[in-house]
Parts: sequence; C-alpha cells; structure tokens
Amino acid sequence: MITIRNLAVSYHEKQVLFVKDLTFARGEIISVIGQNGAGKSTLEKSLSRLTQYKGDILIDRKDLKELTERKRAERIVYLPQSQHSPAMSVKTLVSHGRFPHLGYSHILKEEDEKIIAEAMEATHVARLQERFLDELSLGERQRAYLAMIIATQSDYLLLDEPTTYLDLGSTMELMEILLNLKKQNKGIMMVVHDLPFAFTISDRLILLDHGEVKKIGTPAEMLEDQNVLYASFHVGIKKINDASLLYQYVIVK
Amino acid sequence: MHIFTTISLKKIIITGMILTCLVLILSLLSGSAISFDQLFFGHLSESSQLILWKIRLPRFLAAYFVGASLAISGLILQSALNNALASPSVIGINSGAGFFTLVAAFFFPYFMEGRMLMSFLGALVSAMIVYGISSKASLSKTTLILAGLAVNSFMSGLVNAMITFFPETVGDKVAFNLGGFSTVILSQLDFAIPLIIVTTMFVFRLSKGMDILLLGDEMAQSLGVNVRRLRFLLIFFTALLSGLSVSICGLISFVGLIVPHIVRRLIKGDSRMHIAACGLYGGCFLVLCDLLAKSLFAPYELPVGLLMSLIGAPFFIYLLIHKKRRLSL
Repeated sequence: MITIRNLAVSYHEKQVLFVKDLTFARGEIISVIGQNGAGKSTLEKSLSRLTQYKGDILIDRKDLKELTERKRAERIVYLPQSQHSPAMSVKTLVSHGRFPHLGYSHILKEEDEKIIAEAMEATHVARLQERFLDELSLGERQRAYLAMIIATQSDYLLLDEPTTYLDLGSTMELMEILLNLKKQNKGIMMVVHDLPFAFTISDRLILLDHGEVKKIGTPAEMLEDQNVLYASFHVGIKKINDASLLYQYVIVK
Repeated sequence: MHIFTTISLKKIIITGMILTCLVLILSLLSGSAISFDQLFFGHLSESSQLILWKIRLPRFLAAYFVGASLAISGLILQSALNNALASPSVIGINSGAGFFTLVAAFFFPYFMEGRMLMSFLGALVSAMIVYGISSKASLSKTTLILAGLAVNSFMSGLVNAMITFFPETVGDKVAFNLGGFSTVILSQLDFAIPLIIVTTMFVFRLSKGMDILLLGDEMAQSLGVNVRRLRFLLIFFTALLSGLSVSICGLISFVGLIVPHIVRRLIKGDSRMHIAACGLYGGCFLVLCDLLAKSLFAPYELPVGLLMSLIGAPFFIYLLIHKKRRLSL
C-alpha cells in the first residue's frame, strides 16, 4: 500500500503539485490523467524520489525518505516516457532490471537469469533478446523496457505515457501485459493521455489540473461528474456497454 | 560496424597480453646495439644491458601505462559527460594538470610525488570547471566541447606563460608541451604504475553503473544508481589518471579520444570489456606510436605528442563530421 499525505512539490518556489490524501494498493491499476503541465509526471517522479518533495510518502508503511536508493528501487520503479536506444542488446537491457538486487560482485546468479527470461516472456521480447535496442521498432523497444522493469520485481510500477509511441497492435499487447501484472498483485500507476484506454483498463483514476487533485475515483464515479472532466479536457466521456468494443468508453464532444 | 560481437572479457585480456609481450620485445629491440639473437639467445654486453634496463624498459613501461591510463580516462570521461568527443586533452584536463605540474616544479623542484599530486589537482580543477559549466546550463554536446576547448585554451596559455617566464621549471620545454618519453625517470614510475593499476581496479567497480547510465539519468536513478555520485567518481578517476600521465610525460593529446572510439566501434560489449580493451590496447598503441616517433627521422627523435597531434586532430574533425545517431554517446 502506498500512502500519500500532504505531498507538495515546488520548482523555483512555485508549487507545481499538491496531493492531500491518496492511497494506492497492490493489485490496482490507477491512471493519472490531466492536461499537459498538470503535474502528472511530477507525481510519479516524487514517488520514485527523482524529485524533491515535502510531505509524507509511505510505501508499505516505510517512509520513502528513509529508504536507500536500491531499497527504494526494489519496491517501486519508474519508467520514463522518453527511452534511450544505446547499442545494447535486449537481454542486457532486461538484465539491468536486476541491479537493485545485485550483490557486491555485480554478478548475475542463476535465479536472476530465470527472472530475466520470465520477464522477456511476459512482454513477448524473448525472440528479440540478441537484437540491439537501436535496431528495434518503438513498440518493440517499449516492450523491452517494460520487461526490464518487470525484472526488477518491484511491487509498484510507475509508467509515464506508455501508449504514446505505440500502434494499435502494440497497445492491445500492452493492455494484456498490464492486466497480467495486476493479476500478479503488482500496483501500477500510469500517466496516460489516451482517455478511452485509461478508463477501460483502470480500477481508479486521478484527475489533476494545474497541480491540484480535482477528482479521484473509479471510472463509474468519474463519469458521474462530467463537469469536472469538461473543465479539464473540454470533452465528456460516455460508457458504451458493448463487449465487442476494444474500449468501453468514448469521448463525447 | 562492430567487428567483434562474440568476444568475451577473457579473449580481450588474453589477446591484449599477447600483444603487450610482442610490443615489449619490439621496444627492447628498437634502435641500435641490441639484436634479436642477442636478446634471447646471446650474451648481452654490459653496455647493452644498461641500455635495456635503464633506457628501453622504463621507456616502454612509461609509454604503456600512460597509454593505458589516458585511454581509460578518455573512456570514463566520455561516459560521465555522455559525449563521444570528450577526452582529457580536448577539454583541458591535461593542460590544467600541466599548469599545476609546472607550478609544483617551480616551488618544489625535487619533490616528485608533490608534482604528481599537483598534476592530479590541476586535472581535477579543470575537470570540475567543465563539469560545472555542463551541469549549470543544459548544454548540447557540441557546446560542451566548445566550453572544454575554451578551458583548454586558457590552461594551455598558463602553461606557456610558465614556460616563458620560468624556463627552469621544465627540462625540455618543447618536449613537455608536445609530450614525450625521452626524459622518463624510473623513480617516477615506482609510484605512478601501482597507482594506475589500483585506480583501474576501482574503475572496474564502476562499470555496471556506467552501463546503466547509457539508459539516461532518470532511468539509471530509477533503478537505484546514485547518478550524481557515479558521475563525480568517474570525473575524479579521469583526473587522477590524466594527472599521473601528464606528470610522467607532459601533454600528450588525443590518446583518450582515439583509443576509446576505436574500442567501442570494434567491440560490442559492456563497459568492463571496453575498460580492459582500452587499458591493454591503449598501452600498446602509445608504445607503438612512440616507437614510430623514435624511428621516423632517426637519429632525430620526434616527441610522440607531436605525432599524436598530427594523427589526432584530423581524427577529431572526422568524428565531428561523421557523428552518427546509431552510436551511443
């Protein structure tokens, strides 16, 4: 369980984010939605201590500020939106996910190799393992990075706009991967712009606007408050009960 | 593009050691007075033994370890600054070391270890200036190089000022500025070589962090790497290795640019392999350049740094023009 209380983040003395009260559990998918500059990435970066913050963040009742970098990475890991493509094989990339758990010698043990192989299977990149990152398509690279953070075996995964560069096929694969991770009791927080995707897959959503929390709730609860949605996005959302649709939610002008 | 894709650390070390032995034999035989037969099978005269032990072997050791040192420091600097064009000579680290070395020679003419310490401090000061500039403004990679070139100009100016106003600080002014091994003293190596070896071992420990740094600062930090501390340590060790090198042989440029570039091009692998390759092949590379410099216009010796500038500067321009996105850094 992640508990956030009175989280405040400022850049150059200007407050960019304030969250009074938020909890988020394992086995839950929570999407952070809002316009650009709303503070969505800032929230995720605070949770992984990439940004200075004031307030309390507790991960499974331990204060985030008291964890060492590695201990923190064992529990919660952040995947940035922009991903580098160095001349590195997919297998090597995924193996870096084991870094928080490596001993003094930095050598991968048999158990680590098994976890790496399973992570690559989970995101269907096992057949690409000898290929180099700079040779892959955006979707393939995304899945390679996803395998890497799965290999960290962290309880909480923070994704920043995972769908931005993905085509439709890759997006569907991502949905399947995320639902599998949820079944494995991982807590997933995602910053997303694709509202139908977010509403379809999430257990709860957080709507941020100019650094403030406007609403937190299940998709159904969000739909009840169309005014709040309209204030941020200038569109509404409607649910369509049709099992043949990929996304059960549509945008209404 | 990458020729050696199935290479392992072991293969790199073995071939490196073999090459080192070959280069050692070549060094001992270069020049007059000692032939192949005499060295291995015959009996060497006393004067030949003197040449071997007092002149050729120290020169080989100095050139080898300086070559290894500069190549490794170039590699880790490029990792720290995320810039394939950075090298200790290009961005002023070597000339900073040079300036402080001359200041030390002025105040403490006979204190060898003091000279090395000052050399290291000079290297560190220059490194910190360039690092400071690069972290204050988020500069593009080319702008960082320009800042480094400015620091280099400034420090070189100070070096030349020292040489002009206090010529007694430097034995052979030309050789210092151009970098050469003709005046190497064995006693300097007693201290420097073990220190270079120990530093390299520390650098090996940082190789995992260096690999993960390729994924970007945010991703590396997210995985638990202390990015700030890693970057500082990489720059610290760059300064240490460059400082030691400059105090031994003066200002030799471009080794830290050429060797890491070729190593990364030829060998597809992790940082450990690159560090080992830079050390072993960088050493051989500089020894061979030194032999070439010695023999090109025999009996006149060219300072090896002059040869390096003539090869290195066009190579640098080539890199500037042909920087492809595919190469990391």
